[in-house]
Amino acid sequence: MNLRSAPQSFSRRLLGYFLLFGLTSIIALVLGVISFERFLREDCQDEQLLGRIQEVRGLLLADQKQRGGVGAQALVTLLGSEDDVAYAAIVAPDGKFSAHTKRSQVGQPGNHDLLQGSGDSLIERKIRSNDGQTVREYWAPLHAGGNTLGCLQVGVIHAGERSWLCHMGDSLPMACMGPLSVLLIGVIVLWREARTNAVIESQLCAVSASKSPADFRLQPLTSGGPAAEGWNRLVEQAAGRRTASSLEASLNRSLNGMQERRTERLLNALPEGVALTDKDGKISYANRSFSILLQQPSNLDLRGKTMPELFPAGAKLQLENAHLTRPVVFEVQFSQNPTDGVLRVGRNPMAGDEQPAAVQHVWTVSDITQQKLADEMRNQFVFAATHELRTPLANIKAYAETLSMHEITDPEQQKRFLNTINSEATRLARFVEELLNISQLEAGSLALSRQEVDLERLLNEVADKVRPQMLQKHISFDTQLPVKLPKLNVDKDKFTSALVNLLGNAAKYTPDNGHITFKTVIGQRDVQISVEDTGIGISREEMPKLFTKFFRSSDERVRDIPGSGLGLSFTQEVARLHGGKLLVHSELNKGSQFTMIVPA
Amino acid sequence: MLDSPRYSVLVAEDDRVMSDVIRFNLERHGFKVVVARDGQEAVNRLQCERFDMLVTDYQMPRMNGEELVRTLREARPDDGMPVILLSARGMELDAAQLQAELRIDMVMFKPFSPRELSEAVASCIRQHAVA
Repeated sequence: MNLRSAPQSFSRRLLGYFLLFGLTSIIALVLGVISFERFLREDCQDEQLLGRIQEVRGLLLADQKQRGGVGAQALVTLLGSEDDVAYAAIVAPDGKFSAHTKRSQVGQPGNHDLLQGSGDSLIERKIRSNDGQTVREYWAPLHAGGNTLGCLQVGVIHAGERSWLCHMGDSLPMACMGPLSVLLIGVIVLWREARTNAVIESQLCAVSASKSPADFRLQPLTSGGPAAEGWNRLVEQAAGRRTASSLEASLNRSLNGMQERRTERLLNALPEGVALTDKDGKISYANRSFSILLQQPSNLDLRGKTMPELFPAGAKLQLENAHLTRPVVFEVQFSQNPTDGVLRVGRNPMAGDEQPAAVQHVWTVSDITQQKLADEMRNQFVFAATHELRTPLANIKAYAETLSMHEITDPEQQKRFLNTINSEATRLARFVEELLNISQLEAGSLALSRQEVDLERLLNEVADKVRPQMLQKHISFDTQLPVKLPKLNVDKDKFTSALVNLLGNAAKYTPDNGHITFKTVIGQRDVQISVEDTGIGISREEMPKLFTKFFRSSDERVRDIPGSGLGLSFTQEVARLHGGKLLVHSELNKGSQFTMIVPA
Repeated sequence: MLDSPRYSVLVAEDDRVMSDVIRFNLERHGFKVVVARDGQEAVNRLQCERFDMLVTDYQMPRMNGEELVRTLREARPDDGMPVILLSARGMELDAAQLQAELRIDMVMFKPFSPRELSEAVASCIRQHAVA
């Protein structure tokens, strides 16, 4: 059986050691106390013996004085009968025993070395007797009035057992050292025993004191023992787990980093500006579009700035009455002119921020300039269209009502009125047609229905349609057609409308008594139909915007001429759909030339 | 119906078709009618002749109806000549504001009734004559 596999439990071992050393030290202490007590008692017995010796010495001296020493032998015998007294004798000054417990020794020479010159004091000496016993011999000089009787000699024997106890009693410190050393050994053994547990306990205390177990690193133990080995295994396991968890944490961190980078990239890819302001209204984040839309330098760090700093000085941020916790949307214009830029700005409280004092705001900025311009153009178009629709309508109503109101008897006047009504109705119908084409163009559903068309006939029809307008303004209208014209595969209605648009524009924007040339040239692969006028022309600045939907020249002379601003874009679209193109040459105040080129 | 030839009306209208029918109706009502083809021509006419009434279109070349009336009111602040403004425009024109600012008696939107126009002209001239 392996002892290591089944060690005694710590508490039992502790208890065992406690009892062992406790009892041992108690025993040692008790022994010490007993021996000390013995020693004390021994001391006391010696005192009594000495007292007795002195007493006998006194009696001897008294006997000598009063009776001339006849009772000396009796007194010595008496003393010899005391416990522990081996013998007692009186050595006369001549060195012979004058009295002795052994009567045979009387008259025998004795040891008298100590008689010479000694005073009254008791002399003690140790001698070893013949049978190996240690004898303490007390010498008490007997002086009586300058007359020396000799010396009282008493031998005291200590039993063998008594002698070691006395020896021990002699060394009292040793009696204390015994239990102390036992306790010391006990402390050392217990400390060695408890050391492993103490280290484990201190580490566990540190773990419990630290905020999270991960903060404290457990240390393996160097000392042996099954408990330390077990502890070391646990530490190893924990370290392994910590490595795994730190790996997991670093993985999470890098994943979060990736997520953040992806969010950052996503925000920077947005066409809308996004920014975040803190509770003080200072920007804590702004994406790339935000600085671009607010026309800030791209390398400028916007953090720490406030919103009003970033908007142009003239722009009004409509935030005065806005509640901090409610969304706000308003528009900001960079200048009076919407073409300089219009932004739609939204301010939303950050989700979760309920307290008005601590609310963060998410700002969104989008460029709505194009939308604004388109809206404006559409409004202009609606106004223009309304005007264009109302003018013929007003004429029709006025003439019809006048006809019914007054009794007009003159047939010529009646006819004139009715003709006017008719022509105004035609004007209205044409405009409605144009509106319809525009709406088709807008909806992107302008599809061609091609058919084979006699070009000469088509061109003549077009010229006939616009001729009345030319006549009205006394414009000389010159039509130049080649002798032989091919047949074309085109959408007849749309093609006709496109050419009528060009000629109508020429008529509209050419002053009275001007000149318009309508010319067709047959190329190798295409047909070029051009309209050239001596009209007001188009400025170089406005040329690029000419085909933009709803565009109308800002020229004063154009302002009052009715038009939708869609005719040219329609015509260009028709040319494009036929696989051709529309070219323009123009010079302000000289005239314009529009050439429609379609494949033959 | 006023048929005194004394009352003359200046009609500023660029659309000949419209000015013809206005002239026809007002003359039938006994007014003397002078037609100007645009605002500038009307201003010139007003400087040379005396008119009892101005009927003007809003949208005209060179000078529109609003500018015409403004010029008239600035030139003669004390002369309260009645003015009727015709307009083919819709919501974009703030009629009430124009009426108040330029002391325009009436704004009529096209299409309008020629009879109502004639009656309004007669009523304006009568009120002005009484005043």
